[in-house]
Amino acid sequence: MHNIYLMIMVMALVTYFIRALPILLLRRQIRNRFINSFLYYVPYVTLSVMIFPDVLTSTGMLWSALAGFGTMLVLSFMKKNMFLVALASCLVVFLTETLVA
Amino acid sequence: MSRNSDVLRGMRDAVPVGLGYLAVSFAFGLAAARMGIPALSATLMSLSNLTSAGQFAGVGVIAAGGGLAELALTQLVINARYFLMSCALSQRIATHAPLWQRAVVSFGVTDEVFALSMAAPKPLSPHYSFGMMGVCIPSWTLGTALGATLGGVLPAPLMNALGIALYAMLTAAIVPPSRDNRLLRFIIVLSMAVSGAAAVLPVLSAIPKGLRIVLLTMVITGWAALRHPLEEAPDA
Repeated sequence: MHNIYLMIMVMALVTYFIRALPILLLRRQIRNRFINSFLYYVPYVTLSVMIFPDVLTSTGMLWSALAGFGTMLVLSFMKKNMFLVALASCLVVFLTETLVA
Repeated sequence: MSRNSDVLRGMRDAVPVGLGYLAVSFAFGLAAARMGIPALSATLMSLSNLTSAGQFAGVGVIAAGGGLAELALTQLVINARYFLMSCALSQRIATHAPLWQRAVVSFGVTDEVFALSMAAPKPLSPHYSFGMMGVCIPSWTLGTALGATLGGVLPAPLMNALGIALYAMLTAAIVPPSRDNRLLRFIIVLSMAVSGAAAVLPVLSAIPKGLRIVLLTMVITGWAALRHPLEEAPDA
């Protein structure tokens, strides 16, 4: 194993560089309609892509993950707050896993 | 709004995320310990990196005796999505914010902080971000330290239940605005469907996940921006 502190530093630098470059360089308001539209849609698309299908393998079994996923979709659609959505989804997963197992 | 109240608002809004981070970073600390990474190293990694997928992959590379180039490349691919998030964020931060504040805000760009930032009123106050970071960084670091030292004291169903918490938060960030907006609803469903298909299709599923997220985002977002450009300045 290489020096582990050096490796951690390299990881941190690469990750910071990725995050900081756009924020430090794009300081003026962009006027281009396409770019503005693109940046407006980015959160919805990228977070959706990250959630599914990974959420299905985030627990111990597919059934509990499906139950939790359904819970978070319904409650979010009802505009419940983030804390409640997270708590309810965890609870549903826990109950499903203890009942099914 | 004053700076102090922005900081407090950020801290308050980030509490659920902080709790979720405690759980996930606990799992990370546990995984790192099992791969032979010392508790201090795992904790320092969380403090300096503040990213889940990148760290899980990073300890994998380190434990396997990988080189610095491999490690750097892994981080670049897995965390490339932050580049897109930061592009979107760059347009939200108040233009008069000094450069050092932008530099600090950059450190705290995680999936969940990004989701909260985009839901916050515009322009985004750097102090609001500082508040969120004040909750998220300590909880991510503390959870790692606990997981690495205490190990598997939590029962499996409890750990599994906590594993879904972050996905619930991301969902709670993007779904509510879609209730009154058919186009956003369609874009969310489309993105999830395409992502689900890409995870099982032959060629696409072979692409590393971090890169796949970026590619799918570029294609779907590009399509949406071409077909449904915003009417005027994006204030929705």
